[in-house]
Amino acid sequence: MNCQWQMGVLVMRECGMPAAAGCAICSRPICAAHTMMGQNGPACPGCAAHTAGYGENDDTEIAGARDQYYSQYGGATQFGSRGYFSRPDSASMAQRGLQQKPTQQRQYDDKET
Amino acid sequence: MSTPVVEALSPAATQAVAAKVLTGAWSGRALVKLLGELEKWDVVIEAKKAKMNKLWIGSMIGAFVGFILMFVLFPYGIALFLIPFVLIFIFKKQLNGLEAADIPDELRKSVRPVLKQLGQDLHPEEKIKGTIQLTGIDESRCKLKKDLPPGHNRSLKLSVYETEVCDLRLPLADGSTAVLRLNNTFHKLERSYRTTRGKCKSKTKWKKAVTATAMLIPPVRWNWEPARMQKYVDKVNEKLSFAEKNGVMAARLDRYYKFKGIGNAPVATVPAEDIMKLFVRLSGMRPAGGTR
Ligand SMILES: [Zn+2]
Ligand SMILES: [Zn+2]
Repeated sequence: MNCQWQMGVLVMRECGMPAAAGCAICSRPICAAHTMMGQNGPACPGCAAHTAGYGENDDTEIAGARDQYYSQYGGATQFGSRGYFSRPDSASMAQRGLQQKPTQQRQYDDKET
Repeated sequence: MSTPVVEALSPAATQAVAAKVLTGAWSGRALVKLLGELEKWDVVIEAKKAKMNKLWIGSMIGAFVGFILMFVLFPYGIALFLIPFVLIFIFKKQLNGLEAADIPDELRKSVRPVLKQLGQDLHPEEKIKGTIQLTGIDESRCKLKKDLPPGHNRSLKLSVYETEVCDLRLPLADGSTAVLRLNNTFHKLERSYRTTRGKCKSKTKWKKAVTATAMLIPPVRWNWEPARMQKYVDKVNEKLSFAEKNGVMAARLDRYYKFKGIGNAPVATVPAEDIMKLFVRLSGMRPAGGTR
């Protein structure tokens, strides 16, 4: 089994390194580098970013930011079917209800002088 | 103008600071590191600036007090006035040097966080190319200076400055190229007027217009699917366009901002999150199947 953690924000792709464990939350296989340890056991960076009791690193930061950006533009529904997210990603995003999150956009008043 | 020396700056950073511009090719990691160094340097400069400003004001107060004491303690009291008086000029010169060494906030607030978040999207072997300006507003960037009809003012002067903060080409892991551009235009309006009591006063108002441009140039000709993201494009503050680039169709999303300031030029700038959202939406317009 290889690590199924998806790296990147714009060009997402699977890590592919030999898996060392399974994420205790979304159950995808993960390699040692993508295993975060916390109160629920080993977790992938995506689950760690959304669960209390896990540390932070570049991977969790990217995972958190990615979920936040994509959720505003249709989330897994809009992107997942297009091959951007792996099945476990779409599933875990759906679990967190990211698809339903409404679009939040700040408004800049262009007419203002 | 003397550039203040900060210990432990790498040769690349030292060179960039001296040239006031970063230009070349870097790996993503190297550029993030270099910008991090410049950021730290900027913090040091800011601290020195604040300290020098206090010293400068202190020397002015000292000279004023010394001026009074000079008459009381004549002739030795002259030194009490002369020393702080000379210091005023020394401190002011140092302060000007520090002002010129200040690095635009865009690097910290907009560019570096974007590069960090795109770290895993970058092509592992190819390099980021482009230019980042390390100066803010200076006279060489003045595009227009003119006296406007003063109306009821004594005078009304408009100056316009333009800066291309950055123009970066980021090679992505799928073979496409992401382009990030930030352009600033400053409008400075200096108004000099007479109050009802007959005093002459002047006020300066600033307007800063920023255009953030994100572009995705695909590795092969493909048909973009803008319909999927069109509803997420802000019709007032954003513009989506497609243009032929090197034989392929590039997708481009611009976002416009306006900031105001009184006295000093506004330092507010585009949040990194907004730039990421421009890229995410462009990415969402890629044809079905993606490019994995
Ligand atoms: Zn997980
Ligand atoms: Zn992995």
